[in-house]
Amino acid sequence: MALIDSAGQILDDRWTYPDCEGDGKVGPNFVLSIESLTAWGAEPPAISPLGAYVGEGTTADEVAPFLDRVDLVVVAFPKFRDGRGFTVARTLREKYGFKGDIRAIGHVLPDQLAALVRCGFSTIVTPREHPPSQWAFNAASKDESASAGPLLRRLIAKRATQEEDVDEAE
Amino acid sequence: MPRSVITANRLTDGVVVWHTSNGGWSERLDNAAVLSDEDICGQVDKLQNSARSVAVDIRSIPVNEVGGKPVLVARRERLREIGPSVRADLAATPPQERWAPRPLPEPPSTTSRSPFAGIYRYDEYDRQFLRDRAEQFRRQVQRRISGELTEEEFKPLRLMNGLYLQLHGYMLRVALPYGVLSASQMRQLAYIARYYDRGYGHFTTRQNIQFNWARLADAPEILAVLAEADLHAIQTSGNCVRNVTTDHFAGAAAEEVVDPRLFAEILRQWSTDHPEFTYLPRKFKIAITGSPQDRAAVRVHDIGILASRSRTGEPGFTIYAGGGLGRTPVVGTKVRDWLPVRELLRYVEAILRVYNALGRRDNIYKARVKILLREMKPENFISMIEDEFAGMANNYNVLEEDVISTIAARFSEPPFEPLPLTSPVLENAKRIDRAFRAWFRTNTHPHQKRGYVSAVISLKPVGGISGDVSADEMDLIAEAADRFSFGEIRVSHDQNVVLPHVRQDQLHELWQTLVEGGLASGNVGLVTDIIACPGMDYCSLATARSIPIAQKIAERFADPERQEQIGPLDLNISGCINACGHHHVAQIGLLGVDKNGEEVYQITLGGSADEEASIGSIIGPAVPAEKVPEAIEAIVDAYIAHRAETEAFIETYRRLGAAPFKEAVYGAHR
Repeated sequence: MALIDSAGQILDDRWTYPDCEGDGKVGPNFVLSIESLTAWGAEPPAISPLGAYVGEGTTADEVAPFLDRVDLVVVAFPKFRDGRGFTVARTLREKYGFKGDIRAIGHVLPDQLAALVRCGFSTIVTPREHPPSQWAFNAASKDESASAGPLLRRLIAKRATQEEDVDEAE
Repeated sequence: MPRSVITANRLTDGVVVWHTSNGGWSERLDNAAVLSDEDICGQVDKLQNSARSVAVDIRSIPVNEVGGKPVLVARRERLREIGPSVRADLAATPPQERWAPRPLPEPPSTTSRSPFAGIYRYDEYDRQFLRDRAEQFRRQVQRRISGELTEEEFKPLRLMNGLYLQLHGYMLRVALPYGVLSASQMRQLAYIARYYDRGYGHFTTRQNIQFNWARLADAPEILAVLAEADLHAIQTSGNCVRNVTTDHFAGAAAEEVVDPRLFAEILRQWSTDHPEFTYLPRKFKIAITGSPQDRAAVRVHDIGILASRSRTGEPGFTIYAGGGLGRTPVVGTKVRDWLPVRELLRYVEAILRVYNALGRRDNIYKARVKILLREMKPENFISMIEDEFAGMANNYNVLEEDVISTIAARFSEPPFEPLPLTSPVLENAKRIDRAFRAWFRTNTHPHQKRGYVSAVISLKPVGGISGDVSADEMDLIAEAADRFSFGEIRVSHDQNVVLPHVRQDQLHELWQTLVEGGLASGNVGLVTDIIACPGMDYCSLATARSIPIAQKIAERFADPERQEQIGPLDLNISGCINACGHHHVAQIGLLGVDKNGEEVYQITLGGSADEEASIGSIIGPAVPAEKVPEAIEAIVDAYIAHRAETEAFIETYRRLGAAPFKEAVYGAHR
């Protein structure tokens, strides 16, 4: 297990992820389940930075109330074929405007890197059987034209950039 | 004592192989090591690990020993051993002679371009995107062969590129987006059939073509060849948004209100390689039509889109969701009465987002959106989509007019000529040539341009295989399209081919060309125009064969006069509950099932896929294979006896119910 960024480069991982046992200790750089975050109620302790853990079956709407107090959302992939995590990330970015780190953890494949990034993931905890070297290779072999995609994608992307330019000009 | 052999498909070419006593693999069952059931489990486990880079789907199957030789017990396994029962001609070719020797000639795409066809024109980016996908798949295949990817991990990647492992080996399903293709693309398909397959292909019920004998090691190269003709196999399988289908007369039918091809293309581009919707709970099928007559079966799709115009002439959509066939056949629910064009992608995305987040993943049979819709209740499902839709940023994924017009401009318009409304040449030919007149009546459809007509080439000759075409026939169709239809071709979901834009005064000449090529069956819409899935002859999911049953029924009704007397009647056959043969929505449907090793067929009546969609009802106990033609004949005779003047079968059925048909089929046997 290693932490990588969207280009497949290895990063230091200072985060503590929720483990099955759960010994109750909480400190900075802890990733907490929705249950733990909920249990704090309206007056959470002032610990920073914190992460939220989106387990199997948890939706973006359920994590949304905690977004203003976390820097990181960790989205679990129980199986790489389980694509719910993609919708979680997309919804966090598009609907809730979350600007922090969104991290994939669990069974994800190097072949999913481009899709993960396009849905808004910024970091990935790589599974043991697919070490960072495989991800770096995948990141490097992705070329310009592939990311540009079919005409519709290019046209919509172009419009979005133009609108951003206009926003900035205003 | 029960005995078994170990079988697999060879990883690189899919050939069926048998494990031998010396630890190798043989292409001949006779060489297989026959083991007792006690020994075999450990052996299979061991091989699944040690042989995973040379073989796939390693498993044991029961055998009887006859004269010291193993004989497979199950029918499916016997078909797998000898090849499709309907293509006895193929069985004689040993595996090493199945594929054309290299080097191969240049593909047709280097010279053939069909410049006048009214198809969507790719630019260099689009083309490069397909080349990159082929290259990506080449690397994935290498990683599978090297062992870096397990079969479990590789499977979704190959499926995403249309490559299945079927009964006899790998099968490649190529998308023909919304059924539109050019003559030069058809030639490219013929080239693939000839040089990477065994000389033929199969048009499916979802506007795709399947090659039954592709080799894994060739698959990346096939994709690269397809890319040179702007064709691909992306998302023709897997739990993603599949090929968007539409009316096979789109852009040609006289009664059409909105040309659905533009929006089908937009949906194709939007769904291709979609980062969010590539690992859905289950496959997802979208169909769109723009005619009042629904030829695209939109009400039995995960999303069905009916394009029409408002009172002021503005195009827009009525949206259906949660329709589908398979194990749980259901007519879709109308979820939106009117959707403006600019909101199309946003709304479809809202549906998919709700589905991806909440669709069931615990049970493959309950994973389709139809089950989610039913479990949530339609009104809750609709309000959830509407919430998701309302929550989207205002500028997110809007289909602005300039985006639509830029894509619309990529559809070239064939150079239609101004012609008179009727053609004396055509009228005269109809008068003097009876066979042509009959073909005209069944195999043509009125065109929106004066002096033109759409012509259907039936791929259902009596004794043939529904949807199968040889490489030579593909070339012939391409040639006819170039001569008579601006090089433009359609494939229909009922497994026929359409030349959409034929001049009325050239129709007789086209027909003569088709007669010479053996492609002039005048049975479109008649009882012998049977939709049939490949069934157990090819498919590893099938529980019974479909093709031989279709052939027997067609032979029974072969007489053209009799077919004409019966009139339009659709008959569909599926070889398993997954219903690729769309049997639920046929006026007469047949579902093949296995009953204690015997192939038997359930009969359903009263199905319809059109604007009054309905799911057929089972009329009684399943009928053994050899009794099916007789049963169908009894149903047809009962219809003729009971119908009022010009009443269609479905009308008679809806008026009288199943009773007279039950009586006809089962009465004599009770």
